Amino acid sequence: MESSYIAIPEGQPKIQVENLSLSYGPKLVLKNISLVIPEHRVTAIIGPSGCGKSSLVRVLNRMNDLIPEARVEGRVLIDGENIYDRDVDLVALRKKVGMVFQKPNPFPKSIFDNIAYGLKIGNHRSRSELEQIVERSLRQAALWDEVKDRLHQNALKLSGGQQQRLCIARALAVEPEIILFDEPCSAIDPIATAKVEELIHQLKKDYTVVIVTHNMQQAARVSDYTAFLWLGELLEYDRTEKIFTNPANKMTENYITGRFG
Amino acid sequence: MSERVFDQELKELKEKVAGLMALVGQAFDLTEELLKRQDLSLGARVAELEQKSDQLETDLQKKAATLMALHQPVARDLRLLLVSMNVSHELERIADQCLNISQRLEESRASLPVAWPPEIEEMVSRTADMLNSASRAYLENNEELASQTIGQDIFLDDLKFSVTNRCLDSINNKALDPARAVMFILVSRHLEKIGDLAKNIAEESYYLTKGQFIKHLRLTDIYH
Amino acid sequence: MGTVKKKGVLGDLKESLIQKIFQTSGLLAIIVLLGIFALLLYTAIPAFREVSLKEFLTSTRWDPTSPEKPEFGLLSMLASTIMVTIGALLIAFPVGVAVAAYLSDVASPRVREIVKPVVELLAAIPSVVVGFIGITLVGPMIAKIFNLSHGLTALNGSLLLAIMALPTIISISEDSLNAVPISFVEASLALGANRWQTLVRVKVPAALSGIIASLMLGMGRAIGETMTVLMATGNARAFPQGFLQSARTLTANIAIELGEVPYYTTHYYALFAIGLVLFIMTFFVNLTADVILEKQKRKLQ
Repeated sequence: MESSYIAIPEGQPKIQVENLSLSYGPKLVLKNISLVIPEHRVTAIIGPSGCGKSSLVRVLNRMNDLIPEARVEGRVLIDGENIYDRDVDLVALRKKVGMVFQKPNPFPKSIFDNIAYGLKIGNHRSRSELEQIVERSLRQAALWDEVKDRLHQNALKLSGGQQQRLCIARALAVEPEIILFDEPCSAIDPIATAKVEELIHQLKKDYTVVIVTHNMQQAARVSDYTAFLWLGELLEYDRTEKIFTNPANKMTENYITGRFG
Repeated sequence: MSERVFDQELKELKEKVAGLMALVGQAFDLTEELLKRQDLSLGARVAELEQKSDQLETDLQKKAATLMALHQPVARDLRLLLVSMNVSHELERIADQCLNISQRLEESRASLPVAWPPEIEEMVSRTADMLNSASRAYLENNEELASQTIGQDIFLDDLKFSVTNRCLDSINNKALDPARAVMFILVSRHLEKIGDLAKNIAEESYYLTKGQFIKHLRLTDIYH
Repeated sequence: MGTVKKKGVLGDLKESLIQKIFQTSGLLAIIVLLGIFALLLYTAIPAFREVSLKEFLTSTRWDPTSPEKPEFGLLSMLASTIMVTIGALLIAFPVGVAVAAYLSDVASPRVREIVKPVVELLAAIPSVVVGFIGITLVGPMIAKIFNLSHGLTALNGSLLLAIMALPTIISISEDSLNAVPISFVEASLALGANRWQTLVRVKVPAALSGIIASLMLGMGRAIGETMTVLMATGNARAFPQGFLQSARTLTANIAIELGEVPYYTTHYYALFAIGLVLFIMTFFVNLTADVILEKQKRKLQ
């Protein structure tokens, strides 16, 4: 196999993954991965199913901690701090690093309560403050106009695409600095997908975005940098336009042109 | 690695470009013969081939646009499509230049036959070589051949200058009929243009295989 | 090429036969239920030739064998039943939900593997044995703590019924907590909630209808339980005055008196009327539980 090609992006680094390996029990899922994710950019992680792309993104907010036999080696620095240090406050980490999941997963609560959830579990805020933040988050997620008259309706009554934007608004409400998207469009229709992609474009002004996607065209459309993972290894990481016009690695080229995967 | 349906389509596209290359090559050969034998009846054939090349080029552009819309190609697939579109356009323009040459001869019917200046004879053979090697660079994904072809272009420029200067001189010392002199200048310009277009094809071929744009770069940049 | 035509008459027959068998067994359950109801109704109605329905339901006096004036009021026993049941649930529900939450969220898989079967085994203890424990262990302890002459009180019954209702409450609550999709938990954790907040604010609310259903089913269990209360509560006929008094529940009363009652007397019929009341109570409690569980299932789809 050809050697991997990992570029160092321009701009301020937000996340630095250094020699990261992840195993679930005896199974090695990520093999010695190093990459730098720049601030205020969209970084896409692509690769065939089972390549470890979801696992990689779940390393960044330590969601893998939920899996009892998960073991992490190496370092992940966010703003220069290793999030795998002993004294890391998981609650603070996850407030800083928001996440949107594959399937829209609003709580079976009202639209308002869904968005207020992250705020209520933190420090107490007044009702008017909550209302302000809920409106601001819904506007950011381009959902306000569709739901402003039914904020107290059950969120599960929304369409799939609306639910996903609600989940984005919910993540935005706690004012994270990084938002992780784990295949955010795999369960919604193309129109809703286009809206979410448009949203991601908007978000990079204020946030650092990492998106896992199995849809290569989506990676091409929304991201500035693209990482190609294959069997737990990072084979190529470069500017998205470079990856999609002239990838350095043969495997990358074969994958993005649909010759396997 | 499995053969995709798209691979088949790309192969067909490349074959179409090869077909257009053969056609334009034929037009150029006829033009070469026309210049040698100065038999104006060959002009009709050149015109006919030029028309055919227009048609083929249109087909190719349509086909490539369809493939882009339906397959959203990336990486080398994308490059092959883009390059094939551009190459077919350049080929069609080469056919135009062949037609132009035959028209120049037609216009100078009264002055024929003529003895060609040696520079023009050399230009004909150099242009033929460039066209040939550029075509092969595209068909065989050969970036070496592409760079060589690009390097050849400079000689054609020199030859054209030399033809122009010689003709202007001859007009001044009345050594040559001005009508003939103008025809020589024009034919040399058409040949030089064909060389230019062949060079473009070579540049496209280089991009196809290496993924790097080398248009408007100096030779030293290419050869590092 | 495969055909899409049917494979002859035999296949058809087999399929319809299987369908019939299942249909019949389902139907049988309904027929048995209706039959019991009809039998109860048929045997209970003659009681009301001599006792008014109003007296039956509102009088606190039950003295069917009085030579002067027999009395057939079930209110005292109904109150006892309700009291003992509520007492049992007051104990079993918080404990049960806490154990369920522990099992679903806190316990390691190993602990869960051991605790869950043990809890389910609790349900397999015969009620006589539980009653026995009430007489020899729990009752005397109550007597000692509250300084009573004996421990056969409503509280004793409640405690024992609580033990009997626990397995139902624990296993159904735990099932519904586990049925809460992992995606809710992930969403909550990803928003910076800790495990406790996730349990209280997301999992319990999402599983609430299942938890309430477990309460209802536990209640059904407690209302219908006979032997344990018969043995443990002292069975005084008076209207219950408190948890530290002796009490006689509807079920205990039937069990005590049915053995000695002369057949086809008003007393005999009145006991069946009590049975009918019990049947209706438990039926509605269980029905409500089922409806709630069904709702929860649909909600979490």
